[in-house]
Amino acid sequence: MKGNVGKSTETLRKNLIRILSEESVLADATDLLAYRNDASWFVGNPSIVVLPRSTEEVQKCMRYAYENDIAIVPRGSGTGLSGGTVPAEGAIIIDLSRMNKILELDKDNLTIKVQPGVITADIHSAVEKEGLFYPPDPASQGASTIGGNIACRAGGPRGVKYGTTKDYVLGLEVVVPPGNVIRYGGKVIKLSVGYEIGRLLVGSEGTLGIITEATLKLIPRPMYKKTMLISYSELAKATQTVSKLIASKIIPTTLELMDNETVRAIEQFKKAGYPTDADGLLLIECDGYKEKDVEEQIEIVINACKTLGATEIKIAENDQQAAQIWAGRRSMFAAYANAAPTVISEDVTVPRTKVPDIVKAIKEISAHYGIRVGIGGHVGDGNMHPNYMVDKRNKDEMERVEKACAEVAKAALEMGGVVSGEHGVGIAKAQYAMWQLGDLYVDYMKALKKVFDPKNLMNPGKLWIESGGEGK
Amino acid sequence: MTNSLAPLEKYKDDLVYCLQCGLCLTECPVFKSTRLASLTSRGRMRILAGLLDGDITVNKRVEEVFNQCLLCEACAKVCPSGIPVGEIMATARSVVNSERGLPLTKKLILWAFSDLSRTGKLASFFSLPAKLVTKENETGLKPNSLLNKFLPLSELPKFGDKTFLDKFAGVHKPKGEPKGRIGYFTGCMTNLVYQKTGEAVLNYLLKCGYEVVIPKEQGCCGLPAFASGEINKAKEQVAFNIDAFSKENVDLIVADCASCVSMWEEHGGKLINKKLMEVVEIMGFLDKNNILPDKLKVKRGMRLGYHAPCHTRDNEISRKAPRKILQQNSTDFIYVPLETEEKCCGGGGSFGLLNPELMLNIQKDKVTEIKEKNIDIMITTCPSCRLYLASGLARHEQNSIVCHPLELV
Repeated sequence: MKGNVGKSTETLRKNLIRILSEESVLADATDLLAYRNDASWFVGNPSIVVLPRSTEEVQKCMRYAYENDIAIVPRGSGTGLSGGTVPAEGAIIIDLSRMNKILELDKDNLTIKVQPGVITADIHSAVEKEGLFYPPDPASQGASTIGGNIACRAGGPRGVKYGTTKDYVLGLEVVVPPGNVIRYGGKVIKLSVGYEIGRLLVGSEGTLGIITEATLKLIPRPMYKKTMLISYSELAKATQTVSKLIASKIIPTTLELMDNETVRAIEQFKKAGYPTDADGLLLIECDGYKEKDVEEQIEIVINACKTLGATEIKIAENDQQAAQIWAGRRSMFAAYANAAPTVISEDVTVPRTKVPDIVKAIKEISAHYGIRVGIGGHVGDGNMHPNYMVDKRNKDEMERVEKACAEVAKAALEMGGVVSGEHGVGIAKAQYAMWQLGDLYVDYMKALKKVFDPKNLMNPGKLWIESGGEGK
Repeated sequence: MTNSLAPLEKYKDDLVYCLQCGLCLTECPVFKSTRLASLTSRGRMRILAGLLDGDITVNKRVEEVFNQCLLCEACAKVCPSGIPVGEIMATARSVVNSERGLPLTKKLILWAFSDLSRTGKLASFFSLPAKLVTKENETGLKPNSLLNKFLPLSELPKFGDKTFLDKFAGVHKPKGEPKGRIGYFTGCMTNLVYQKTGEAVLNYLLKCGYEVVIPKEQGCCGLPAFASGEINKAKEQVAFNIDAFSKENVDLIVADCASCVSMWEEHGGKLINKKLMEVVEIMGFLDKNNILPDKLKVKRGMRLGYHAPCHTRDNEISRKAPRKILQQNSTDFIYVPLETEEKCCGGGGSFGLLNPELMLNIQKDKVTEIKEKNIDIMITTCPSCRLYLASGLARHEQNSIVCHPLELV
């Protein structure tokens, strides 16, 4: 290879440096390698990366790309799991990481205004210091950006009670092709004016425009919390607990499921003190503003679990014990990663009454294809995370796991579920999304995209598969 | 693939096991500061895979990307796949060295520090010219304005005219029957610069009733060479020190420098394929034996803070011990827990000298908080952190003292 920057890239580089600055443009092949993928197993090939510092700079980049017919892929920290930010061939990556200021924390209106590159966990610590709460807590919160969270509707364990990112977006500023700025909403918590174009950008995965500023809703921080670990000798009983609890009109903050495969993987990786003979474990957390309120919730939870034959109920008596219970669950992903070179984390979501059925289906389908699977997930909201432990070097196994994923997606759809609860569609689930949405729905999406992005340059190749194009 | 990449071959499996999940980003000071995907372990694993696949060749940018890692291994602690990041980075640097040669500054630093008596001679040789361009104050040397323009450090360490080993090498007996025989691994910074730390450690151990052995023949721990990819040099140094201490028949070895300890504990044995003698960080040792100091000699009402070095991240007892002292004494002075207590100082050995802009950016939040909260004394258990923190504080015109906790006893 001669030099590190090809000739056409060199022109591109010079032009973009003219628009931005030298330190805001990355064109060396070495750097570009690090921008080829997200946390999924898809790989793309960008031509250049730019790191704008303001909305105006984003506009300028977009204008340039649009005039020159170059595809644009917005990016945060690249922790997505569905290939949403994996670049189309030759695309310009617009990395929003350096627009990372918290612009305003408004304690009187309970809102926070942020730039897209702010790291999710930094929002948590900023608001929690003030006794406030921003609930969405994706597992990658320490690295993921708020812009990426909004563009992909990120969720997390607290989704059961508090919903996901999409439920906290009050206002957005977005740059749409060919470089215009649209503003939606603001600090108001009621809004009934016109089409909600901002809402359309939430979950649009960079296919319509680029989020350059967001106003988020905050709530007072619940002061009391109790954490429990509940063991069952039958996985089915653990899964039935979900709808039983919901029917008892209890919505826990968190309701996590771990099957035996998961428990054993965790114990092997890190002695968390989980009972390895349990066929199913539930980690349940209830919170509230009054201690009594939390106590009452806990009592109902205990009763429900006992009725279903829970074999052991462990309630954390202090923060330290709670942390210990969480330590196992938090190392779940690491435990899978330790057991296999490649972990594919899926995220179908079903109505809560169907949790036992989908768990059964996942087990059966994986067994049929001979794939090792651990089930963890935010079952409280019906969001399942089957984690397939495979080896990407094994072609045959990868083919089998693809088939298993597809069948699980179909099973979820038959149960009235959806193919993704919080990871987004990207490339990974484009086919499944089309099964779920149907031709007509996808046609409307395509038509909408055409209005925003007539040249189809915004993150092309995501959300659906163009006819004639190939599957994954 | 060219042959120079051969040392990387054995990490091919690790590169496959790297899930590219990005959890390493959450802990990386360089990433938090630059927000570049290529300056994180995830990015570097991808780049290494690219090198091995022949997508790119070793060039200036590859060198930069590998050099702009603090080697703090904070990422390795959270890596789900347990990738041995420190080892891989050292090997990657050795590959870069063999292709592109070691940068001159690093060569000089390594040469100067590879032999402690040479270092001592160099230090005394330069002490006169140093006096001409710097102003001495209580804590160190302040470069004059012209020099400061070219130097990344705003406060330079003061070298003694004699080294600590010159003054204190030998066997020191406590009053009465010794509780045990302890070897003291001094490390370069204590030997040359922070000799007061050495004296404090020695005196405290004697006071606690231990016999202290300080072999004259001890050298650099090997971390600077290891981190620069000079792996064979590091092996020699590790072996040299083992030799020096194994003659002395000590129960265990203590060191005051968290980085030296981590070199012994995490890489030393692996490098030479041998189980090493136990080397423990002094504060952790004291806590384990319930002999942490229960009084500190500081002026009443002083505000004290703690900086936790990256190299105690894996060693909970050592990490907590300094905090424990501050907490138990809180009637005499004020312990101010910093939000940035566990944040990086930006130093990382020679990293800060070679990447001054990055270093200043990484330490910014920490230095700002120390200034805002008006901390009088910062304690830390890593001399390298101490150097960079002191310099950062001087840059911000904050007159805090940075020292080892035992210096306050």
